[in-house]
Amino acid sequence: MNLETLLKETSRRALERETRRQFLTRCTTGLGAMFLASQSYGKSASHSLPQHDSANPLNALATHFPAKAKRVIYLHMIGAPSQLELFDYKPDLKKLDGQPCPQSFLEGKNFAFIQGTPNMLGPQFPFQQHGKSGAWVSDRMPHFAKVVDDVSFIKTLQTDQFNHGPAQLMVHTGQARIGYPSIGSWVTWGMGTENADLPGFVVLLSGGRQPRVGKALWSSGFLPSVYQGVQCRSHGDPVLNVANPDGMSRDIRRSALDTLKSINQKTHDEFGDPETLTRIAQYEMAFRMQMAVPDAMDINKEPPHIHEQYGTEPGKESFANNCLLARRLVERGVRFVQLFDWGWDSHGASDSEALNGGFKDKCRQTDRPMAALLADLKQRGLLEDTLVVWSGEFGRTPMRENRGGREMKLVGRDHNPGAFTAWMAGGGVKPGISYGETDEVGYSAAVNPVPLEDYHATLLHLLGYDHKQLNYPFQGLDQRLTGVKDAHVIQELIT
Amino acid sequence: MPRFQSLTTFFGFSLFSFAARAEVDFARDIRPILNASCVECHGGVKAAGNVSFVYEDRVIDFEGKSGYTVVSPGNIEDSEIIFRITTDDEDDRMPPPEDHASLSADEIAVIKEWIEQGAEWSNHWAFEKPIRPNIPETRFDEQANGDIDRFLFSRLEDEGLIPSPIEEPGRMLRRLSLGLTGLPPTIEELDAFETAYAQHPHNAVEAAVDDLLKRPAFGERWATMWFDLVRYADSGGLGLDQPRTIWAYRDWVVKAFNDDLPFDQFTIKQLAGDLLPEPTIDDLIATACQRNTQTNNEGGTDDEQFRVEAVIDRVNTSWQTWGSITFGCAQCHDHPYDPLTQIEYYRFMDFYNNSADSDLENDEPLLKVPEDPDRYNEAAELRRSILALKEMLWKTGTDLKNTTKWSGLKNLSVSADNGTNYIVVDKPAHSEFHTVGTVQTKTHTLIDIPAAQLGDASITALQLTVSPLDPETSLKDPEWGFLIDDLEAWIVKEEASRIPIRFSMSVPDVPWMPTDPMGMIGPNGNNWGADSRIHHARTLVLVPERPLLLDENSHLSLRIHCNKTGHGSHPMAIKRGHLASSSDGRWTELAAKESESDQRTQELTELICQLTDMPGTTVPIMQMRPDSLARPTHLFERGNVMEKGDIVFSGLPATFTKVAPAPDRPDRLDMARWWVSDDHPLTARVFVNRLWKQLFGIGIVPTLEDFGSSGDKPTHPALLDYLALRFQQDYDWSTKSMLKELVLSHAFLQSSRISPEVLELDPDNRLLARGPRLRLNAEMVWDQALAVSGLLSTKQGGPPVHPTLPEGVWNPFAGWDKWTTPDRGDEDRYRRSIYTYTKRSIPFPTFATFDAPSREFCNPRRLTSNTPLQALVTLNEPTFIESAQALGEQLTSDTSELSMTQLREALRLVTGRTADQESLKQLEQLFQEIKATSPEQAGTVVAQVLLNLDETLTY
Repeated sequence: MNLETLLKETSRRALERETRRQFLTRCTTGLGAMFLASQSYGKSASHSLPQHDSANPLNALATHFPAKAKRVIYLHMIGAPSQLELFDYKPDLKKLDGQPCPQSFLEGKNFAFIQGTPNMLGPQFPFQQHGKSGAWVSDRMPHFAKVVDDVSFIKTLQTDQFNHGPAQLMVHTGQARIGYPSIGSWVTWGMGTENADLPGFVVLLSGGRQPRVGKALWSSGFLPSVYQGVQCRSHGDPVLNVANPDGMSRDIRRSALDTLKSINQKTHDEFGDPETLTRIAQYEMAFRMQMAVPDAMDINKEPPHIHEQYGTEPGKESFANNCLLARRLVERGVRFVQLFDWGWDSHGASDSEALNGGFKDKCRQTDRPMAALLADLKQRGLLEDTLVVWSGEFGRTPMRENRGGREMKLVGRDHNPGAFTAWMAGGGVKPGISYGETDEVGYSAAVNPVPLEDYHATLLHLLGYDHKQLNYPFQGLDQRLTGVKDAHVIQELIT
Repeated sequence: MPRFQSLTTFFGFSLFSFAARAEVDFARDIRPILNASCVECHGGVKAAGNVSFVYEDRVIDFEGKSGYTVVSPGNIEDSEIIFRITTDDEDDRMPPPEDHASLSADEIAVIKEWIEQGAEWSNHWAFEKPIRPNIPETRFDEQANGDIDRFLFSRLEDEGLIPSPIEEPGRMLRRLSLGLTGLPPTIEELDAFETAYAQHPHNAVEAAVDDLLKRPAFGERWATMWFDLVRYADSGGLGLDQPRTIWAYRDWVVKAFNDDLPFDQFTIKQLAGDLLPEPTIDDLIATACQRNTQTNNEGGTDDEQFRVEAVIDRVNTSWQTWGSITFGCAQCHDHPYDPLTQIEYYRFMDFYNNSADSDLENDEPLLKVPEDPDRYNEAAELRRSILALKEMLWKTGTDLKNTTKWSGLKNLSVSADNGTNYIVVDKPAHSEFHTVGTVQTKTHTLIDIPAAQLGDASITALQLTVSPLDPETSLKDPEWGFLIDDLEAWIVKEEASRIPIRFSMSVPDVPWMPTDPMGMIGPNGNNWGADSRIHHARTLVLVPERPLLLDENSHLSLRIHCNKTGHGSHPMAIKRGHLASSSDGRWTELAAKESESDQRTQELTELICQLTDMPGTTVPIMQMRPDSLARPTHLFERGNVMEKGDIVFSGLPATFTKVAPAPDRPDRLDMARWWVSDDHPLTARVFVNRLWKQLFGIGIVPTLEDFGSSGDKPTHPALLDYLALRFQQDYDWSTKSMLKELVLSHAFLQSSRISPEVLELDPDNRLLARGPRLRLNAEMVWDQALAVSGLLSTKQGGPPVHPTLPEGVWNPFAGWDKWTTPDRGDEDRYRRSIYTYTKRSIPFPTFATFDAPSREFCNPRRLTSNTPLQALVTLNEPTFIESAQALGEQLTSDTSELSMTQLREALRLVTGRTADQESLKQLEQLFQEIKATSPEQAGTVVAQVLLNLDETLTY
């Protein structure tokens, strides 16, 4: 049986079973009714959970309503970049530079490192307005400044966590605790993916350290594990175990899989377990992935002008390489590409993490590739239905960090959950907008605060989902990305 | 009322076919309607108009805000609910028509009927204690192998199904072996079993089961199930995710299963082993169950926040593990569906709120566990002696402190050497000093006491009191504490002359804490303080070697070192305090060399050395804080830690204590005993349901995580009660006896072949018309590959191991946490999966791919997936390749030719049954084909096919 017949066979059986159930549902008495009553799974009967093909749990499915964004590239700057040095221009803060922080800012607040009364810290870099939209961007992002008209900013994101691990989890799973599905998992569970030879949800790290809570940021939580993010790497095996062992050619593997398939088919004939057919299909898919993944992950195939545009160096683990990979992956139908870039925790405690040190390098490393990614997607006509998102996990304080109660040698800012900036582009986002305003020093959201649940509801809306309806019954609750609080879609950001 | 009739038939015969009744049953017929249509607004979270359908007394004969009676038993006209669900008036209609579907005619009819019949309210089934059911009769009795089958068969009869024939012996032994020990049988075991089976099937099966239950591998298999629940891991989780040494607990659980420690004891020891009279080392190790909570040592984190989170996790995990109740829902509001209130949630939290651990980096308090179990009693004895001596020393000192006349010291000058500012406020009794403004790290507090303050007599003792900066609020919202790591003192006479003073003794205010200075504070690691939070004022008495006599114009100078910072940012400095002195000569006597106390102190030091020097490991344990330092337990408004509500005291939820009584103001040990008390409705049911799920693939209650009213109903309620009582009463909580009865059932031993008809009717095999056919779990997949290739080590216990790991996975946040795989041939490379280092932020990829959870929180149920990434693991992961190579070498023995005998055996080894000719032929062809081009690969490739067969990965 070749794969196509196999898949057809599996879905035929699934369909038959479904029809049988419908028939049984219609009988109100007799055997059917009795058994079906016992099959009622708690409250789950009231849900319309995504119904994937049993042999292919990643097959593409329709969304609640037509999606403006068909795929997502999420750029997370791990450590929380300073909005005050990038996109949230605060001239008033400049005037307060060096003055003691007003007590009203400190009352009832928890800080990670600030002690007692710190001093205010003005913006460390000059800002200018750019493009037709007049977006304010600091001089650290010269390339990105050229594409701001394609971008919309949210200046007033808010979280309730001020430590990295829990705050990163809040951004990606809507919960501060480990064990919940990430946005990418929700989306691939809902929509499946368009290329069966590649994982539906790919994670790319720029190197350096792992995010603190590691894999929990791309976990499927209580959703089936097939929806968890698959980490792909730009050196070594692009996907764990994707390469055959030394000396084992693709032909040898093919022969082995043929024998395996034939014996497994016999097993199915004998035992009649549909899982056996699924297993045969998964081995075939694995075989195809072994070709498709290395091909998608090989940026050597890109022409020189593209490398020039992104600033890529093949073979390195870098944000630039990952931006280019992200484009290659979405181009091939991958649903969700999650990038993590390390090194944005600008406390000022060490040179690599100071606003007058490593921060400048981080800007340099990300500015060009981000701009290239947006321009490249646009030029290929992909931007209109690809959503590109950039964020950290919280903001930074308008106060200068004074770790241990002392003035520090280098310049840095502490964690601030009260306001942070994200930007979005493409995929149904109204371009050239700045949504929400922070107070005069960029400390808290003054106009149109955006709690994370609203942000999540908006992302899901762009992807064609009503956030209330995309839910999964677990531990007595209809779990959803937006949690139990009311969440609102920000219509102003949507075309 | 024909429609109504059909509805009761519908429910009556299907869900509860063992007891068809014509009466309306509240739990069966009414509660599901209320849960689906009413409790969203009239439930635990919201109780609009004061009406809540979760509580009987807010419905029956209850007047809501409207002034009408919600349900008046026997009287439809007076029951507001009927008016509301039937009226055409859109303003009054319930559920509100604008956004909710109205109740169906059938639903309305059954509610009316219920009220007419007297509106009898009943508890949800799982909240009533199990009742021993009658054993049903069945026409398949001949096939039944015990009462379990009679329950299952009678249900099959009702559904028009028949049980399957018995499984073939080889496959049967493989199922038993993997099911009970997680490992497949060897060829010798298969041979022996098949021979015995041919002679006397029943005896052969029973003997095999008895043998499997006795193997050390048994405990390793069942401990895995337990570790998902109690979230066992070898690392801290959040933040740094630093390694945590806690494997002694892992070994304890394995041993508990192997020793068949009765489940009631197993429960009590893990929840409250530290509170048992004269706890043994084992009792204390068991409490590490509660110390598997995550800690966060990320810089800038709030220890108190994560301590509270750990306590909350203990509450949720206890209720999930022992009760399958989603009690966590009651953290922010009353439970939406089940009668459990928010206050009850926090009462339960009070059981856990006063353990000594507080998210410290060193995981204190720790227990020393000797390497040699024969020395456990010795270690326990040493520990008891140490605690007794500390208690005695403390009591002697405290008695003296309480009868000493203290003079408060005034006119102090207090400063710091680092920019932290103190001011001194004179009070009637003493001068009090406190910080103002920003407190800096590494504060050394400098205190000068003028001689005049110390009076004429010589000073025999000083008493230092350290309070929170704001004593008013700190009991409720504790401030960061202080930690004194060194203390110097001088008599200063003019600036040039500083005569150092030595102290010979200190008496802390509590007999036992991780930071206690029995012996003098000093840079040797003896320190004193409130680490990391301060709730109460703390005192320390310092006794100088010799009484201090000061000249008129000299002064006493103290330098108190507080160098520690809480998580790299919070100075653990003294923020408020005062001093007192005494001239009572008894202090000098008490502290004198050769005094009773001095001898005891030396004895203590010696005992501590003995215990420390004993070879072994440590494990974090539960230990109570002294009562005088108790943290009050507050309700958190809307679940928000920052908003503390009323103080609450320990207690158990009324819904359950009505059925299983508990003492008033129970302590943690009472709570532990309560879970396994005779009348507890949940514990036994929940545990047998877990065993059932492990063996049959789906629970009798499929929602292992929820036995509440929003969880699934049991497919076989009477069977569940039968098993629960059998386990609890007939078997005295013996897990092995219970498992034996389960695996000897025909249901477990029957063939797992599926006919298309049965598949359509029962795709999940909930009715068991066929035997279970399950994918091996993550651990079995790994262990089996090592076992059939002859690589598996049988070594048990000890520190976690680091088997092969694909390159590029290990990139821990804590860079010093190394993953070093032992070389080929070293047995630690081939240990059972349970011994693999479990790091929460980098779950072992092979296990994660096969659906093992990463153990951050209680994981009550694994979902089974079937993915291409799994295929890549078993085809290409280094250990699987090594296994295939080892198995491949056996296939070709010493020559390069395929040995058909070996191939036949290998195929039997991975499937449990006699190899079929067709498969052998295909494998042989594959061998020849590969050999033609890559002779060195041929054996490995054939072995890979064997290790990847659907039958190999399924049992």
